[in-house]
Amino acid sequence: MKNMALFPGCLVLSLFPEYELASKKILALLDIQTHTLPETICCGSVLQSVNSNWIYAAAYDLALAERSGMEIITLCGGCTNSFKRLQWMCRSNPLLLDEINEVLAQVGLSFHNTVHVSHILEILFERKETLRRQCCKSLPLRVAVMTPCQVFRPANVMHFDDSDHPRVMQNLISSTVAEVVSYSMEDDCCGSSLSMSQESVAFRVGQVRLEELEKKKTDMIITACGNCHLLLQNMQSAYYQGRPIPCLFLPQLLGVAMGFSSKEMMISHPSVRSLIENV
Amino acid sequence: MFEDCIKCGICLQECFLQKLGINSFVSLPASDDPDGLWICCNCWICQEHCPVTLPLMNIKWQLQRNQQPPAFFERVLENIKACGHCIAIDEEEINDFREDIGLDAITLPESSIIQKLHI
Repeated sequence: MKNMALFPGCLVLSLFPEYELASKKILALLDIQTHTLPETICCGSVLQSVNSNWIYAAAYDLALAERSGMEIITLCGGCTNSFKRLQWMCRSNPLLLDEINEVLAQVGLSFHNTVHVSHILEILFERKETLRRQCCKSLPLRVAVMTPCQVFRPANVMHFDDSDHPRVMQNLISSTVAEVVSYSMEDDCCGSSLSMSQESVAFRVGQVRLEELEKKKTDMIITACGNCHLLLQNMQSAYYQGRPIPCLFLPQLLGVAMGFSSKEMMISHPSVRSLIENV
Repeated sequence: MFEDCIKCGICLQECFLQKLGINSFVSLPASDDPDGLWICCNCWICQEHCPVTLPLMNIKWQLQRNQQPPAFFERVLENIKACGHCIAIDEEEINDFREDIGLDAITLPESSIIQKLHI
């Protein structure tokens, strides 16, 4: 069993414990024991617009992981992007590492830029054959993918799949036999972060996506980022008056296919439970 | 900051917001609308396709940092200063919940740590 640090990030910690729980449970079946690091803080992603010191937040979290001796698994696109870009910036500019360490010394930490960071999609994709073998329940659903764009771009930093047209989620979902609906916005950002500055614009983006998915008779949307889930699930009723389309985190879907019950995957949405339990 | 922009329009074609008819950050070089600065989701597609490799995201963040941020960002910053996270978290409350569902406990950092990180 490999030990790894799971970094839920602010959104998952506060709003989406089901994502964290389902991830931990399916990773355990893939021989990864996950641990929550104490005293972590925001990854710095949201701070980039207001403060150049976001790098100290990201470096602090990475230094905590280095001290623990464990690699980090992230759950959201923003956290993954901040951490990997900070690491890239430090590799490109060694003086930045010195500057960061001057600050981290004030809190008793040091950062050597050696910790490995992976989004959960990367971890699952690396183990896709094992995962496929462990999927014992077929889920003949029609699902749409919400790709967490920041896990893939910028390509020279993220180095994962085709950065313009990532297909890793579709590949992983194929283990469940669910049909992945193709749609015009499947490679586009969710628009969720706009809710922080221009809520009406975020809602419009969500509405356009859902209208197309309703026409395509989609049962549910599969997400792999708290930010995408926030707009498409939690805020859905604020901007979309059509037939509600529930969202499920990818580890929850995979978990059910791997034999966990809806309850064990914390699937509370009645229509999703009904769809999954009646297949 | 956009001095090296060759006005090819590729970023406008690639931006998913522009495709929906929404004037986003990439419309800024040709527009006086200051709201456009905050209409961007950090999806990086514009920068990925820029033929003169403009660091569009860094340009955007630098411009944003020179402005008063939308109120939401102020609240986020306050939360981070108070508990380390974007959303206010009460350690005892969240750990009671986490224990109930079988998740390990979290520990919030002391506020002095956030101060020392200059956030």
